[in-house]
Amino acid sequence: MNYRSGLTVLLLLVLGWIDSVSAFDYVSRPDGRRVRVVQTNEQVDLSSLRSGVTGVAVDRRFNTNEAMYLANEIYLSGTEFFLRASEKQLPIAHDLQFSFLTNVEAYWYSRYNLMSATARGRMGIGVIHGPYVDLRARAATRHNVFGRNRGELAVSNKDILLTDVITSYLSRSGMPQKFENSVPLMVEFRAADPHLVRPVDIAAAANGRPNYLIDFESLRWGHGRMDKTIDMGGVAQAMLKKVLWAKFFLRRNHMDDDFPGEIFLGNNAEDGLRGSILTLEAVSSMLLGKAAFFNDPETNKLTGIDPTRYQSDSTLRYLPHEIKPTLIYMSDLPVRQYDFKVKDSSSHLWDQASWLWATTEFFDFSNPRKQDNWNQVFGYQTPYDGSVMEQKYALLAQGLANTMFVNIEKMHSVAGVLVSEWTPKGGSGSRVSLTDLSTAVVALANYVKTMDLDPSIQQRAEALLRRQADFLVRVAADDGSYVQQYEVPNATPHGHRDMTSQAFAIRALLAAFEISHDTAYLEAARKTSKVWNSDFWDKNTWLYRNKAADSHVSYTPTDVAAALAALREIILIDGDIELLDRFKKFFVQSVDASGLMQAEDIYTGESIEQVRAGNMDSDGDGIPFMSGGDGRYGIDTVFASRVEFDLDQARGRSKNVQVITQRPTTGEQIYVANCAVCHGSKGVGNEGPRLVNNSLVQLTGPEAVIQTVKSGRISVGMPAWENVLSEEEIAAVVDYIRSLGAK
Amino acid sequence: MKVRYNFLIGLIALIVLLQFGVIAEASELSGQELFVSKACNSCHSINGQGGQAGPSLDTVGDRYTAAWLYTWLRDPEAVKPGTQMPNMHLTDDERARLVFFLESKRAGERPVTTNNQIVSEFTPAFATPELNPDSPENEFLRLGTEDSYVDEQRFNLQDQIQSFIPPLYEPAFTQSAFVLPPGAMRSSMSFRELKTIDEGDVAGQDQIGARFVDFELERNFVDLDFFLGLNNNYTLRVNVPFISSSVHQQLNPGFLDPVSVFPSGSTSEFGDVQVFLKKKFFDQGNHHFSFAGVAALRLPNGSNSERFNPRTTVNINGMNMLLPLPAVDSNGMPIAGSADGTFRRFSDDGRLPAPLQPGLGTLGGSLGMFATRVFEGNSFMGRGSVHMGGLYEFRPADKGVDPGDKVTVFASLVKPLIGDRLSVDFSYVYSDQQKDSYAGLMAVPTMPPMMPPMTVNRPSFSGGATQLAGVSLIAIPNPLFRLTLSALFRVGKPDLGPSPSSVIRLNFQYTFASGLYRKGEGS
Repeated sequence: MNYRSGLTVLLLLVLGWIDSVSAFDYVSRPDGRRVRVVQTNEQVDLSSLRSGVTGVAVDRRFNTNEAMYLANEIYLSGTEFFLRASEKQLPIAHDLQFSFLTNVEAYWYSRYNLMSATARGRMGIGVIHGPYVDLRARAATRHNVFGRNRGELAVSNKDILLTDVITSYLSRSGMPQKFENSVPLMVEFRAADPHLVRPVDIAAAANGRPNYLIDFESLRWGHGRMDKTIDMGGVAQAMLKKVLWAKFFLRRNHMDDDFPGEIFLGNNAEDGLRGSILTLEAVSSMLLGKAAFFNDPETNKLTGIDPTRYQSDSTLRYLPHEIKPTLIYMSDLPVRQYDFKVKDSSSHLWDQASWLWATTEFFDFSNPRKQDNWNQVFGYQTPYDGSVMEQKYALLAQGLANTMFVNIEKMHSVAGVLVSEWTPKGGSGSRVSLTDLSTAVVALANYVKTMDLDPSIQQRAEALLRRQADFLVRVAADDGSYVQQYEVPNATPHGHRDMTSQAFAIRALLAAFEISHDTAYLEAARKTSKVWNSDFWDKNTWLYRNKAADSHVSYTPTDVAAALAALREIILIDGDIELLDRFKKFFVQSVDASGLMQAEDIYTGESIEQVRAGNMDSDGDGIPFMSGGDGRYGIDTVFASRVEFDLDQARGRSKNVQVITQRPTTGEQIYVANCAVCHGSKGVGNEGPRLVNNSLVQLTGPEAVIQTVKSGRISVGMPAWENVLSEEEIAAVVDYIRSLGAK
Repeated sequence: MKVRYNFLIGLIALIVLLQFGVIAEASELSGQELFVSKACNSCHSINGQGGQAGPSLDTVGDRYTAAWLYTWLRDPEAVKPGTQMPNMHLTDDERARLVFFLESKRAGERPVTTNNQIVSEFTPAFATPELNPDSPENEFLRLGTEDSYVDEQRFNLQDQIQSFIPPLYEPAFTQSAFVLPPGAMRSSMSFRELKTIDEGDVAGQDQIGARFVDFELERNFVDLDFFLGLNNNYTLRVNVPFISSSVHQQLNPGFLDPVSVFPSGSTSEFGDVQVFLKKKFFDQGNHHFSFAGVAALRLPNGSNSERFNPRTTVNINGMNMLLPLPAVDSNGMPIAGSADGTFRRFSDDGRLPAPLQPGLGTLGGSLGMFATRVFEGNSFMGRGSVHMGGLYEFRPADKGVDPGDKVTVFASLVKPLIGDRLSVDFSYVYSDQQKDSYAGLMAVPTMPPMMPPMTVNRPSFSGGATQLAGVSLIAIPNPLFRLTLSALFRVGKPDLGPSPSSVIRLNFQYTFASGLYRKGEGS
């Protein structure tokens, strides 16, 4: 071999290496074809949103109910918020910070909590032991005539899950490989310690991604450090989260360069696979809940119901607050249930409302009467018709949502007003907390809006919803403020006048307004918002105080979720620019600077090369990469249970950052400021479709592209930019997009 | 380049579609008619009509672009080598018309039925048979309403035993807190060979009133075990031992050098059958470790009357003599006519000592408890398991022989070596046996020989604490089959009696992953 060919080989090797490093957002199939997976993001400068005060995590445990609730509200405050903001024509043009906070930070923090807790940490019972996989295994066993003749009677759940179910998801999403050591959960435990128990495997795998993204073995949590009670609220909030994300992941289809002509499910291959698995998780949760979690108040034993036949006049069966599982530990394999027993037989309004919300959301996801991209997810001949889940489970979601509604009416209503608790012995309680009432109103609003109900039931649900809103209007103090609890029905207040209750009240009133269009609710919400934003907002630290005059701030995930949700909804109604700014500041202060988000992954600014070099917070946002988090091996990317701030510490510190943002003029600048978060830099695509090599962009004239930019494609997540960007700006950005061309 | 090529195909397809699909002549068959005339429907279905050999085409328009379908129909083998789809050799315009038809098949076009009854007070029925709660597809809605779903599912657990009770974490010969799932069966056979025990392995010779000059004890055991998993975390085990022992010895009773006795004997018998019932009280799933208790009955089917060879000889001052040791009565007086060569060390009728008897002769039993903790790959020691426990055996006296109760404690560490195929087990076993006791008096030869024999109370033969350490290899060629080879070494001698310096054990175990209790199977 002469030196010239040696040099060529060397050059090829180097090029190959560079290719494998830069091809981080692809995974390769064994035949060399590449599949696009989700892309990483670079940190945007958020320093102008930081007050300089930082919080401390005082309880690092992952509380399923609260953390999942926050993750849900943060999801709704993420890309969904961005989309709705564009629909309402809020001034979000060129606001890179808002775009980054919603489309990257809120999006990914919610997604991190989802992946860490339900697929990697093993803090619950896996779908492999669930009814869906079980039913499939039994059916396969029945049909396995040849095996039966040989005396092999059974097809195991594991065989079915790994060879039938996941394989069909892989082929429909285009993903070449499954995630190793992933345990998708159907039921989560109440709480767990999210500290990692071995070093995160950050070494590069053959396809250029770090090992830990393919094999979750190094991201397990310690099995011994979990509170293994099953909390129905936590299960429902987690289920809601799975459904919201499944809807997001599967709202659009994608194509890959190396698979010309084939259309795969999901925004990209990875999203397609994850979305399918989340659908499986949610169906498994509902099926298990339906078959085994309903309490018989007479015997205090758990049983199953047929939700399509459960009517208001039949014998009461309800979801109890807490269930204690008897588990079988099988070391490397997912822990399995042996039995379930009632631990706390009371019924909590929060739990019932959360189940109502989650099942309603699933029904919307699976509703065959509604034309959307999700019609492709559900089919009548799964998997032969290209669907990943049987359409029939729409019935289950519908039945369960109706069951929850009936039970809320039956158990939690005292003179038409809902109460927080019901017990088998004492019946309905006499108090309601704003937290529970607000969540019930939001769930009811969703139920009314999306369930396709029979008119008489629709009326009943709307009436119940309005009764709650009327009660809220009635019990408000003169200045529009609320305390934590009220007696029902005489409205005697109990507890503090705290910030969380104001936020929950705003959320509930606005949800009621959206359904009833009764401006009394809107006015009440505005009044509460006014007192909330003047009495509780701390101008120096950009935080809401828990109590108006208390300089010690302590947040649980629920507090942060309530505040973000209230801000979001009031902004969307009123378009208040000052509150939009406040949303951004509060988000950064309460989630980033508080220690609430305990660690992050490479999708929100950390660079894996820097991590390998030992720099655990390369984007300098104060949230370390997992390995750099608390504890010997670091901590997983989940929310803490409680964070605290000392506002006195900030006294005298003045922060006066003036950000002067140059209004972008060129097409490229406009693209970077508005489009790049979703469509990737230079149009390579991310959660939004790729713009280079895109037939719409390249083959049609500019008019079609301009039209798409203007009116958006709301159903698949493309905002409408008309009235957000000017005509000239849209023309400039379309020119830029079209100039990217076909590579 | 590839991409451009695709665009080109797309464009061509588009043009072809416009040319032929839209402006098709009346005489030509439409795509829908072609679907039937070209017998596509013999393999593919649309709206439930058609064959099942190929995928349903209800949503094919969502899954493939027109360009792809066009290329595919031209030569399926070229697009996907090994596909079962034959090349239908369609003309270009047939292909175009078929593609035009197929592209219109998108999600949302669902089979419609006339069965539009209202099935819920809440919502009008879905317009499809599949979404009618009463149709057979929706049997899942009844799940858990009649029988407990969790019970039902638990009884199917043994179907999954192959993967769910990894044998590589079970200890080789000690006990664990693992139980079998309900309905699962397991059989096990083990062979234990004790190293020949010689006089050096006999402790406390002064206490037994005699010195072993030459001693040889051979023992081996064959154990047959049957296990059955029951509901509520119980496991039943039946243990059938088969015991072979042979002993021959030369001893100097009363430390009298000139006097040597040569008693010997052997036995090969089924021992006492033991029935164990183990219950797991809690599992590592809920706690930091698993914990189980066991209770056993030892049935008196085994013999405790095995005897020494009746032709025991005595050598006194170089003279071999038969019948040296008469039976004595409670006053130490020889019983006339009883000096028949029987060695009466342990009983008047010449039985072997209790440790060498196959049975107790009466009902015994035991109580024990075991704890197990399994470690995952991410623990400080990697994958592995630790087992600890203790067992108390009640061994009542029968016919004047009290074998002494026995307590055993153990600790085992099991560590998988090669994947799920080979594990190594390190165990330590400590067992403490009460001294056995033998009722009655025995005659001891005296010097000079013609004097009447001395009589003494029968001393104990064995007792005290034995300690063994063992290492085992556990091979698992298949999750249901397990093969174990163990070597145990004595690390602590008992105070009294013989103990082997090492033991070799070989075990085969097979689990039947078939349903005994299968529930919820339906038709």
